[in-house]
Amino acid sequence: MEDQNNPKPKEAKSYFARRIEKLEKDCDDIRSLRLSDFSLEIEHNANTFNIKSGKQCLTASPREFNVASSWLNPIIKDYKKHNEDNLNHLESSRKIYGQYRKKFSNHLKALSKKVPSPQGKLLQQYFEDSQYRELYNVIHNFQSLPNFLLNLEIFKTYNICQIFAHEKGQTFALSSHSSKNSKSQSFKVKTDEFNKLFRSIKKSKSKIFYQQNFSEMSVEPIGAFLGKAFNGNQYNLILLIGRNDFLPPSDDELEAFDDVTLQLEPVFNAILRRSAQDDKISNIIEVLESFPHPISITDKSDLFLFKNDPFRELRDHELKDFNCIERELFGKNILRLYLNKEQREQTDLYHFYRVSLLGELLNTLRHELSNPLFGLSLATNMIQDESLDDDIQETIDDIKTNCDRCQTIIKNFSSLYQDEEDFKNFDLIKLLNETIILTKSETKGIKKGIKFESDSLFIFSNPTWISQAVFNLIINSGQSLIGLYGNNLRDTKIEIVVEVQNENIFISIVDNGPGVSDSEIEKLFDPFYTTKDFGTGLGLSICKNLMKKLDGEVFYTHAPNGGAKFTITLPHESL
Amino acid sequence: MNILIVEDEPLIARSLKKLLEKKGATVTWEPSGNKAIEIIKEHEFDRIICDLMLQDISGFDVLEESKERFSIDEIGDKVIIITAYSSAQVLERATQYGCLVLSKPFENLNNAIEIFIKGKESAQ
Repeated sequence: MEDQNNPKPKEAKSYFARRIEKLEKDCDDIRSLRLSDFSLEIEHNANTFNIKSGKQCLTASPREFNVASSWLNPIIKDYKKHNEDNLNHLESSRKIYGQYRKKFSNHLKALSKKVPSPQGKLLQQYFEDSQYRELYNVIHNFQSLPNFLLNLEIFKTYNICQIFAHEKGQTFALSSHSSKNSKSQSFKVKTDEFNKLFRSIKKSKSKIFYQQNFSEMSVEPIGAFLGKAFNGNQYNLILLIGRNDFLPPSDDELEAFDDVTLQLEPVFNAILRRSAQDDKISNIIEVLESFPHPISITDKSDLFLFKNDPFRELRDHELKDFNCIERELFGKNILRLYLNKEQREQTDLYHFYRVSLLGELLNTLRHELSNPLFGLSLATNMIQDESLDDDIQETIDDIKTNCDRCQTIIKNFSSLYQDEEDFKNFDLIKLLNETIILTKSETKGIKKGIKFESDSLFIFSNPTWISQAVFNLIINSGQSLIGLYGNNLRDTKIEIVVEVQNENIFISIVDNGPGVSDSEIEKLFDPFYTTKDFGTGLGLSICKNLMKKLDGEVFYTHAPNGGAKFTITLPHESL
Repeated sequence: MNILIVEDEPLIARSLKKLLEKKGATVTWEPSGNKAIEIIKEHEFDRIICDLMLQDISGFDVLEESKERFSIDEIGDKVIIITAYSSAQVLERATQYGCLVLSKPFENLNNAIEIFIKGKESAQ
């Protein structure tokens, strides 16, 4: 009624429209689950909304609808989640769904009792639409929340507000508090303490708490205060608000607090998520600032949002010497990375990405596998001491040997990709053997072997780079063999021949595949040159760069049997 | 000899427990760091074998909390850290407490067991 007399400002309407759209989509989703005896319908015309479930119907004004929908949202979300989880188990699904129907109709009942009574007055006093929007749009960090809440009409009788937020998985929680007439303050709280406080507030039936019960904790309000604990997806939150005196809040105040906090929950979560996002972005910006190549970020209309130092130093006419790589950011901005046309840097960069990715992957594997493997090996150790019959003893020895083998493989691989710049004395033959194991899945069925006059050859160089170059060459050979022979790989082979001549070491990767035609040889080591359907064309140019860094070379010759022969030369140094 | 093992990988903890029990020690195993803190406050132990990457908190948190009960010298004598990730930072932090760090997997199991029983002085 009041809305007819005072038409809403334009944005407000679209704001409601957005919410309705969202809610309608949720309802559709629920319907699509085809659980026929639960239905939720929303009808709306200019000024009223009907929310129906079964025989119950609630008519509400837009503002009331706003409140109602914020109550409905978590239920709908929960409902959907449970149904998705349980769709395959009809039995439990029915049960849960019964519970939700009940829960939902209780909420509707409570709502219909509350909303129409003093003609929406009760709701009006909590939250003005503009405040709601301000909360969403203006409050960008968690630190300013307490102050904002204290300035709300509904909380004007209080003078201290404290909020704790704990991002799940973090070892600490953040607290921010503010009292009237003073600046807000923040500090970190240990997760344990947060959890203790969270549990006691969550468990308590009353919303009123007394500071003396939390004497060992960093609770700021003095005397009696109101508390509420929120369970979020990513965050757990605690809201405390008080007057710094010992008079407990009245029933009315309590009820108001209850209702407002229900409305606040989704907003809190949104703000915290955004604040985490902002932190992430500022970290990214920091990285971009120190990036060695020119980088710019523009919006769609080419307005600059960000330039790093190398970009600022770039003159317009120099741009043509650079290759530009474009990436869309968050669907609206464009990041441009300018790379010098001198190809080396590009391949280096690509190589760096690939290696760091692989290193990360291996590290994760190591983290996850190492412990259980060690457990296995310890357990077998323990049984080994028992007197057992020979068969079992043998099996246990096998388990132990294999555990240790897995451990060694993991250790070797992660050390292989650990330190890029690590020059050291190492056994080249052992390294080549490990590299062959790395290529196993890509060269399955192909015979592989190392030909050298002795079992070991110690050299001083960079094992990571050598392994990566050899790795690329073996993979190339493997792919061309598989390309030619398909599954019929019985007679295929890749041989690694190591020779020492004077001051040089020659490592040749020889296969009996199709080889490289004379016309292709010239372009072979150019970046982005590829004959494969899914190749990046960077493998060989990476090899070339790596060898250049080691004062070596890589070149191609035809193998005597028509196959390919790639040879790496290295200066022979050892300590 | 009373030993507490704080380790969240059951296979490792149980095997260690049995191996140590064979040497005559009384062994308590606790997978949770938080609970371990409580246990340390209430019971006497001659040795505490503590993993670093626990599910809930870090092994260093356990050390920090046990400062309430033990002097820093006692911590160094009592506690032996076992970890799969013995980086330079980990070693440095452990030295601040005077604790010995053994990397998992142990290079020599028998030696490790001996160190657990006899303390860091027996480590070479």
